[in-house]
Amino acid sequence: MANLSLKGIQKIYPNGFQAVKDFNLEIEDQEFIIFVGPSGCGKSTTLRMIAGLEDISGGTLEIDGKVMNDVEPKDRDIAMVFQNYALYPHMTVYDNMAFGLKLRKVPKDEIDKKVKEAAKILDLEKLLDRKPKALSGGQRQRVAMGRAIVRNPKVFLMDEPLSNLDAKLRVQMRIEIAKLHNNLKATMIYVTHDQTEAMTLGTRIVVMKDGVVQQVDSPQKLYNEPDNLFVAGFIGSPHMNFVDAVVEVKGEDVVLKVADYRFPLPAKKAKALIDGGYDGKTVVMGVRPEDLSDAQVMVETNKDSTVKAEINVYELLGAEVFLYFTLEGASMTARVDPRTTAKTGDVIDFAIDMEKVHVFDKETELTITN
Amino acid sequence: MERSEQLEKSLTELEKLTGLKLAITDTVDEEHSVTQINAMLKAYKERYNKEDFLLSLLRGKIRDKEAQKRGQAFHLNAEGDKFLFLLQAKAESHKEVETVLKQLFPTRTSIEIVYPGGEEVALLYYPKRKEDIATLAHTLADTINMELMIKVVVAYSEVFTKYEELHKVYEKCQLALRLGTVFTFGSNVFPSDQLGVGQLIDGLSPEKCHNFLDETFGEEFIAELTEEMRITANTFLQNNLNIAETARGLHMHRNTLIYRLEQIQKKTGLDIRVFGDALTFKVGMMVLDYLEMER
Repeated sequence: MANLSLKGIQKIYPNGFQAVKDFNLEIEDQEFIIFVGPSGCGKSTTLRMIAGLEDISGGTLEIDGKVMNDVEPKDRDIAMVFQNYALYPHMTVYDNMAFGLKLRKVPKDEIDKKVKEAAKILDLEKLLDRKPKALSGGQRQRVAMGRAIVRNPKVFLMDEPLSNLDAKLRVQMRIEIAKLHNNLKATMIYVTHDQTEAMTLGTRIVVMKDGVVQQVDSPQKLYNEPDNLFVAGFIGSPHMNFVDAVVEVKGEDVVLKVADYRFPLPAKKAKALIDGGYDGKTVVMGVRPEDLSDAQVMVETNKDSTVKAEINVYELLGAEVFLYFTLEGASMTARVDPRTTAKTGDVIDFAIDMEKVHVFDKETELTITN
Repeated sequence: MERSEQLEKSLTELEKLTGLKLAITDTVDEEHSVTQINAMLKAYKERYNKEDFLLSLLRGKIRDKEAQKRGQAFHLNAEGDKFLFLLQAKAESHKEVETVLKQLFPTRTSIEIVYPGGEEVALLYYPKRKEDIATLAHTLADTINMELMIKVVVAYSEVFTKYEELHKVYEKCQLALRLGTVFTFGSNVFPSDQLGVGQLIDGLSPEKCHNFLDETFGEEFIAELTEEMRITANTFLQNNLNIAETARGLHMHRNTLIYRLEQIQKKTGLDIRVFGDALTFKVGMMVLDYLEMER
């Protein structure tokens, strides 16, 4: 298959708007890379530059060691699946998958071989004679993938291919795409704005914001060790809770002061704040919802890092409950056991697991403790 | 002899198209005859060839009443809802683009495809039911991108019903393509009913543009305008004139940013930290981009 190298890739439009700034990434053969970020962050623009559908303003794109900047899209040996794909309504599944190859004047027997191979991988063999209107949403999506697979490309590029599907189908198709990646052993680059999709699909995730790469890491590292406030808030659902805190250093001990509360930091985190000269400064304390607990045993063993708050909203999701409260003006969410007896209006204690707390520089928004 | 060949060619085409065979005597003025025959051929095509008829409509060459009458003769839907999609792709790919477009629509009678010239492909669409035209435009663009691996941009119109509106609709789509590629970024689909400030700038004479730019920026600034200055100014405007956010976005110290903004002020007299001057600067940059596109 293929490895890709993006060095200093930039996209600057004629009026000076920088859609992508200094994008650097090495993608190994067979990796499943996800570009994730909010709308307008440059992820689709980067994908389109890889495809050749957007000109590269600066930097170098290489595929298997060959510079691709000025190579036409159809000569890059890539295949794409875009959000607004359409199947040809009066063609059978077979003809839909074969159409692109026919346009390229591929011999008939070769087309037949490729279509049948792709159909086998996608479990579409029994559907080859059907027309799109006789297919389910998931089957149609697989046909769209099939149109890309028959080209046997070096790289697959997918731009939000599941965005137009309903939630249930999206979950189902995510599994299918993951299986597809395993079967094809192909290099895949996938763009999505959905962080859940990113976390479940990718081997490595590129988080982008305003044209800049924020962090490139495995899903686990992104979740546990975010490099900055944006990544911390973007990855994870519900998102991380943030509240301003003032750092107070006494010898080797550090507490984070929030309103009348003083939360002691574990030694390793404390050292990072001391070494960074944060005594007396305001920082941002981040806590994931699952690291806030209303369980009695947690409250009793974490007396120094417990807050009392009124529950504003109680949300039962089945396997878990979300409790919403306010701390020093900041909206907080706690993910608790569904057997909790807490309900809206109750004033209860929440214990913060300080081992899991993240601290960020308020000005630079970079992590201090990761 | 060259003239005789031209006349032969015209006569052959006339016979092929209409079945008419004209007798030419030795005394006839050949150049005049060729002109006359070609005019007859053109009129015949417009009257009896659907593609030529639609092209003439696009170009505004057919009068209102005639448009309705001739449309009916071609069994074209005179009264129903219509939309125009105007695609721009390299001319050498037009045949493949047409192949893809024809496969995308369930019935061949729901579309007409004509080629106005250059890189344009015009697709006239007669929807049988209410649908999201913006999504359809994106579908056309994405499918052509995916299937043919070529660049394409698409403008689409609002709904119209009468053929005599086609000329204005076409001009709006052309404008949308022109302005979209200059002023809109990150998209390859442009609605013709969201032309924005760019439509005010379009149509300005080069003289007016140059006068405005000289007044706003001065010749020196334009000559010295670097990509770095453009990026700085544009990022600052995008961040709502916020120094901290801009400095963060550009990965520079706020003092460096302030220095650069002061440099712009020194050269142009415009302090883009102030809204009024920022607005003038923005419009000036749009006029500059427009001039560069027209060049």
